[in-house]
Amino acid sequence: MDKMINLSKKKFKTNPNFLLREIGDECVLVPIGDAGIFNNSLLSLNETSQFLWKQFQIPTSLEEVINLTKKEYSIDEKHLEKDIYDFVNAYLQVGLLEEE
Amino acid sequence: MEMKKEWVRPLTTVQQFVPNEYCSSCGDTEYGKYIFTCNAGDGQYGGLYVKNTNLFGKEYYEMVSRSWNSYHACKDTHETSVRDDYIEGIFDPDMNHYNGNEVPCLIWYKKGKYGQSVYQGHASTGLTRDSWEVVKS
Repeated sequence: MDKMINLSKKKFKTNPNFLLREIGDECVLVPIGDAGIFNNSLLSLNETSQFLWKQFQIPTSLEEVINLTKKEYSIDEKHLEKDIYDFVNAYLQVGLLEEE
Repeated sequence: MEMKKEWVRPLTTVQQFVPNEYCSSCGDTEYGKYIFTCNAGDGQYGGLYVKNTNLFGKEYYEMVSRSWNSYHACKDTHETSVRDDYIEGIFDPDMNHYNGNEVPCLIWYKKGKYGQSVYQGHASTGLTRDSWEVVKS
């Protein structure tokens, strides 16, 4: 919970070395430039990952994204916040999201 | 009231591609073939020699052609593998290796069915492999 509080005020944005593309009915992140560990890879996103990625395409805080997500999706708040926190944390760790 | 979408846990799946073929068409000399031009001596008859060191540590020129005047450049181009051996040597039209008419070259041997060297080799005056033309696929 403390970690979530620490992240909630910071702003994050997507790594510009990855482009979001729709291929058929699948949504993927295509690495361009320096993709680090994801060279020679494609990242396939489910609908909610895709939604979150789009929110972070402009520098946005965790708190803002949570609020935006609540407007779009029905879920209890506790699970939503945890899922979004896990998403941001995981993406930060592998370099898909960067701190603004 | 607009219906909200059902939330599912965000999921990202990584699909990694492992190349199993390598393309040499862009001049990548890591994998591919050279176009080796046999031209040392420009058709003149002579011998091919490589530098060697005898038991006493003294350098000498070891003849690798059949005889001192059996080799001449065929002037053909050959497709050779980047993994073949290219031996530094000289073409010499006479048996005196120190009179200034020696031609530095890289010597390549065509391989037979069982990997054995056949004929007496081909020699190119192109001493920088990076400048050799690469076969494009």
